[in-house]
Amino acid sequence: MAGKGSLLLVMGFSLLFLVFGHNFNSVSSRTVDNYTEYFSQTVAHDLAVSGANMGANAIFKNNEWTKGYSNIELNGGVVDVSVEILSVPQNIRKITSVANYNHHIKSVEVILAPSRFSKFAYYSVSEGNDIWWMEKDTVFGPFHTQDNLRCDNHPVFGVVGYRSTIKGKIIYKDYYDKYGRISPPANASKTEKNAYNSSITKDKPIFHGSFQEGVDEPLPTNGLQPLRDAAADNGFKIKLSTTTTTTQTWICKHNPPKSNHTSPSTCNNGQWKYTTTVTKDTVYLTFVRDSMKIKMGYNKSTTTYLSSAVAPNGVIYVEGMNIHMKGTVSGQYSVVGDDDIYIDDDIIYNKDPNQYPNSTDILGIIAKNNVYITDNSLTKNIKIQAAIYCESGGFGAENYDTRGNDGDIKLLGGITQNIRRAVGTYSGGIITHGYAKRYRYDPRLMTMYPPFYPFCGGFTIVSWKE
Amino acid sequence: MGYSAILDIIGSMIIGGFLILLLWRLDEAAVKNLYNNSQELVLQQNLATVATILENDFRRIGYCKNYSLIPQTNAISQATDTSISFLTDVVDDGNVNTLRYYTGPTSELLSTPNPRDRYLYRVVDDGAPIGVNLGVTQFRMVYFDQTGDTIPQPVTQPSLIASVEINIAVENVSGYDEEYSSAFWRQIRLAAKNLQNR
Repeated sequence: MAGKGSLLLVMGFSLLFLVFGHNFNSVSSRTVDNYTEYFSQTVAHDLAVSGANMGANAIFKNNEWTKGYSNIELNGGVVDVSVEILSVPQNIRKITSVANYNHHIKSVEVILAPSRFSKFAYYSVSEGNDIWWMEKDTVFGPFHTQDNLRCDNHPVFGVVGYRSTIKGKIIYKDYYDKYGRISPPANASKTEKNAYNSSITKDKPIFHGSFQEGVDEPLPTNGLQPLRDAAADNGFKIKLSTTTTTTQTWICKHNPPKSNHTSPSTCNNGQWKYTTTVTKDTVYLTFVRDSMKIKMGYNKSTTTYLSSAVAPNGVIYVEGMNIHMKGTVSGQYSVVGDDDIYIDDDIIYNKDPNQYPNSTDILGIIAKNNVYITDNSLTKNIKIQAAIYCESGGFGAENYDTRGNDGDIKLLGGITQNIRRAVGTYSGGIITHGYAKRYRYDPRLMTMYPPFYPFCGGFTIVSWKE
Repeated sequence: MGYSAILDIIGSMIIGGFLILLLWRLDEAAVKNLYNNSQELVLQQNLATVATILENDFRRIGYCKNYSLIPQTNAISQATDTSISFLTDVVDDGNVNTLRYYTGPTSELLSTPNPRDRYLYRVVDDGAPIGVNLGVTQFRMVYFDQTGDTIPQPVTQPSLIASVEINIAVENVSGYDEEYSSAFWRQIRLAAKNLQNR
């Protein structure tokens, strides 16, 4: 009897322990399952991101890449990457990366658009040898330089949340001035290393938005060619025009010859010499809302055109000549010159984006060499609303160091230039000649661009969906 | 009935009493452990749920299906250590929404035994705040600039934000004998890709 009872007791307890044990094990294994689930989802997501990065990298290396990747085995999962062209005319592409890890499927979609120089608030190839970005310098919008970024006392970049990139390194002025080096070498003294850290604290630039070093975005040497082609195709091409001038000089034959003369009356022994010179004309272009006035030389007559009729694709190209321009722009145009472009007076949009954020007026001023603000009485406190591109030169003010104090340059747009040029001179923080800069980025330039504005040569990511 | 029988009965009653006592303790311990373990499972599920929702939303800071609609200014409009507002496309329909996260006070959740839990609110545009009680006791964020330095609070210029550290702590909304389990999750650096596009 007692034996049976004991047996029942043991079996009863065993059953109880089994039930409890099962429950405990069940709860524990579900806890682990819970974390495993989260882990698997995280890994699947990370794999999808990796696939998207691989696809983006392949497109950055080869703009025509649409092959995609199929069944790549990564970290225990499988990744598929495909590329789709969403818009052929605009060359918009979408990368879709789908990852499968432990039957968890995650996808990432990335949209890329051709990158154009118009997107930059400021771009330069060369920053000059001793020009420093200083405390009061603020760049509103995307920034890039192929040079080093020379910083003194916390200059601000990328306001209000835009990308800043440089090809070179950040140079901190205090350290640079003291040691003449960009950064301390490995065997530098403790004093030098401390000086470097101190300079970082004092001079460190402030980046709103993202920042990346080592980004190579070179300025092309033939970026104007697509614009020339577009002008010849369906735009307005102003062909090279010249003015022939003939001067006559009386060559005196007295021995010894006294000099050349304009009249025989001062030398009765001689003959006329005729000299013919051919000079390139200058094109004067004035936008008058939907029209434009053009004259081929200062004293030449003016012809008025309906802008949309003569340049349906918006490209106005002046072959081999300087351009002087001004006016009010209605529509979307790129003015392209093989030489220098001078801005003689305000050049503004018919609908100011400051007042009309949805304004579609947009202008590109695209010069092979330089874009200058003319030294005249009309350019005081000048307003410029455009994206400016200078392939071999830069944007500056004519006679910047001898002209008077002309107030401010109120620029709404962006500047892409090979060489950073001066617009004025200062003494004790006060302008002595030329202009103070009041540059504002036109945020529409992130998604809009003047017709056929030069390409950066690659794509930019405009949307990333995880 | 002899003495031995009486002794047997008394002995068996004592042993039976011990066994009953043992069973009673075992039952209590088992119930407590089962309760706590179950609560921990719920806790961890809550934490994983909160983390998944937050990651999904935070990764889409500055995203819109129609990317031209996202203003080219900063996508994060307001950021404190316990709240954040940003632009996103909540349901991927091509419309820009403002999404706000913040936690309510502990006094809002007096109905739960845990004195530390609070609502985590997720507000889309100007809609009514939707609070979920997943036992969140801490929702704290730290913001970093492009060079990885911490941006001091209060963040006066949200455009400086390049990445976010998210800290979440959750506890059981009720605990056995007022003993609460807790779990902690931290996303060390969450950098929304669309913040890098500009």
